[in-house]
Amino acid sequence: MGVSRSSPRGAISAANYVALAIIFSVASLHGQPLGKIVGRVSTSAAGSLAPLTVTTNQDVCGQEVPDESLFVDALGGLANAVVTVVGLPAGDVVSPTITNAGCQFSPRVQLGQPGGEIQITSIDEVLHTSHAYADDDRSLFNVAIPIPGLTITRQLTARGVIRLVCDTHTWMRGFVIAATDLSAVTTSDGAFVFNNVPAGTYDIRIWHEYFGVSNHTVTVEAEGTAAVTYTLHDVDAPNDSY
Amino acid sequence: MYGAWCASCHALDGTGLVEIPTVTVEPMDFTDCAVTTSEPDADWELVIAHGGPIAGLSSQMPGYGDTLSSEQIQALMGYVRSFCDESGWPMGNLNFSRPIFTEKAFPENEVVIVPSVSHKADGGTDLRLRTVYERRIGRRGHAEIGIPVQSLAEGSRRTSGFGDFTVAGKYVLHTNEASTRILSGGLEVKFHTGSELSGLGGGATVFEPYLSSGISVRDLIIQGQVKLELPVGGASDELEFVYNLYGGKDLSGLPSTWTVGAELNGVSDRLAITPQIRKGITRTGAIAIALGVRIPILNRQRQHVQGVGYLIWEYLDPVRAAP
Repeated sequence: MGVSRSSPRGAISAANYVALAIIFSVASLHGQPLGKIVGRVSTSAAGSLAPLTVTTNQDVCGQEVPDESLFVDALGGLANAVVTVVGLPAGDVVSPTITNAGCQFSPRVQLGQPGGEIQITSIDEVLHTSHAYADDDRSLFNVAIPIPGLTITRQLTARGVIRLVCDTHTWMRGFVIAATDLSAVTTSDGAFVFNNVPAGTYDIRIWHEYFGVSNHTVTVEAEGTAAVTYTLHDVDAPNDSY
Repeated sequence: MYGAWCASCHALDGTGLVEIPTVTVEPMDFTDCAVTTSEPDADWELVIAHGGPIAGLSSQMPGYGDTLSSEQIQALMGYVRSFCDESGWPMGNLNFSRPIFTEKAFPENEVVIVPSVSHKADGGTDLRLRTVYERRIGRRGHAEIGIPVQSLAEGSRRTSGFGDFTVAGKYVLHTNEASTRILSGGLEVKFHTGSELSGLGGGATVFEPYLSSGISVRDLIIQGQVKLELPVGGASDELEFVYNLYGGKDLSGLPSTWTVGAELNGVSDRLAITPQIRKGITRTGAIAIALGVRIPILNRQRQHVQGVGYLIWEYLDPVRAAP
């Protein structure tokens, strides 16, 4: 389990969520100035990994595919990290859609809601399976998508990191983070933004499939913008628990 | 469909042996007729539509229910079953749920533990536990060995020990094209291994030829058995005629389904009825339990109310699903 510095994850009770939601709503209604977090996740790790060799269906998938488990831009910005403000409610999250495209899951990392839905589709002229596993390696569902254009809906029956694999193309990986806390996925340059954040100090949890979970903090001033950069380092045994 | 979608894991020839395996579990060998024929259509259709876990199989078998119509799923199942190129294998649709007393017509690989508790008029209670090891032989044959252990009350005394061991064989004599009817013939031999003096054994070798049948009529399953008991070499040579008739219904197509039914159980001029329930206690259905009460109807003074049931382990089927 990922543990924040000032408040253990387990201590974020339903009452806390309700209180924060009320504060958030009341502050908005009364025009109380809210702050903003503008951040970037970076890393000193190597910018890209060697491509993966395609072992089957090369006519559709090609001879190799990029290893998207680590995507770092020229300035060290890290894509596909999930940044979470611990204790702030997530609010409404758009149901994710994951597309089997070029024998990769696209997008590779996205947000969802525990109990919410996910749409799964394909544009590839080949059989894909979308097999979802919970954080504890429990199989949640496994759907075959043998023809392009088909869209299948399933429920996200777990919270935290839900891993998607294709059992017929074993290099394919996708992740849906079913989060109850306010979260964002970093863009290709490692950027993320949280608007309308009540003033205060928050624990920040960052998950990345390559680096695992790390914990940070941020302080947001009223009407202020907290500009932060979090740098993730290569570790031998990353903490994978969200 | 099979070549484009299934063959990457199950192989074009159905053996499950592919040059570059993708899944981490070993797929079934569809060319093995014992695998391909022994389960009912409903199991295959469920797995194709919903994926392996619905029947306790691997989650790496995905569900095609969002893609295929039920007609396409049936066609795919028919194609998979066609990998068995030997004739004469009874199809799994005839593998009806086992009643408590009526001998199944379908050959099985099972260990069956059959307890019974009888409350007698004098207040005593007889306890019996019979363990049967059953083994399918070839396409239509079946052999079994039964070992009974008993604890019998006689007034204030109790006698315990082995009863009469049994050895039996049966053979499927007939199945129809639509796989709705099956008829088997068998012979059970009961050896007088139990002590006659203490009441644990019958005191004679008993030859028991029988016929067993099963018929499905829509969702209703009817199974019947007639048997002669011919004692040889004992003090009594009284021939007995045994007949059992079962009617029941599976409440779903799942291997772990509940089954409800009732049997009429006759032994010569004695008749009883046995209402019963059965439930697979693993998702694969490899372990199942049945409970019932045998209630005398005719010649009640010569029978006792019995609590009966069985615990079955289909030892060639996976008890737990692969990951």
